[in-house]
Amino acid sequence: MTRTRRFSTDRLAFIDYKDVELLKRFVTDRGKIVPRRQSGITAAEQRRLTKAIKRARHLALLPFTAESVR
Amino acid sequence: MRHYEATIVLDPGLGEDGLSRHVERIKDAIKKQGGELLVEERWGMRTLAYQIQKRDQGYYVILEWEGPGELIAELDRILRLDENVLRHLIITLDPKELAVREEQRQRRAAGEGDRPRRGRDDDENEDEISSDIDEDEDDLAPRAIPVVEEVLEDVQAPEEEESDEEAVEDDESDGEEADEKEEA
Repeated sequence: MTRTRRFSTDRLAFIDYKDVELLKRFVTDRGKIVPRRQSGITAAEQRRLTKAIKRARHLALLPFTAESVR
Repeated sequence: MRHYEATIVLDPGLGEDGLSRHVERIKDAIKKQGGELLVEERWGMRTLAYQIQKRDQGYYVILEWEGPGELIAELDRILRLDENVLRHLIITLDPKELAVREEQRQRRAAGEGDRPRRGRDDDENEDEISSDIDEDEDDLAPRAIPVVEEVLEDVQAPEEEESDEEAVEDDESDGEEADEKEEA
């Protein structure tokens, strides 16, 4: 991984699926989940994040797909 | 006694009274099964990220309680069968998660950000992540490579595009999840 990691693990120890503000930052404008190599978060964090995002999508807090701004 | 949290999305068409009554009914169901309600959070009306049963908004309620495990199956059944419940999600929070969550909340309240101080510069960079994500390149290879290596990028480009598909997304499973829960 070439990008310096920005987050230490403690930051994302608990990722709340209800925390839309936080979740939104790890999702592209199309609604896709950002890959680790771009976000720089750890594997464990990514797993928690993904679970949270998918739950949020189920509750319609986040879209599955979003139209990107043209 | 385990700690549970449920998020419920109700049909806004119920009207204020209808909604309140409904929430009470759900809370009663929890209590009747031996649950002790801890938190009731009402987010109220919210615009949905996508239409559910032709509706654009939903009434969100969050409940936290402690109770026996058997309660869950019953509560889930009730929520699934209720036509006014558009979506629901019940999760179990184990003591460890609770502790971490509590800690995070206190830290945030104290204005410290989500991380204990480590004396590193990147404490100030908490928000940089969003600017790092190059949103224009959404469907191309997301680049996390510093300028120095740009010369090599062209060579690697074809490989990069293939490995791109390793993105965390598993679109199929998302679709399945959505379908399963919509039967309510």
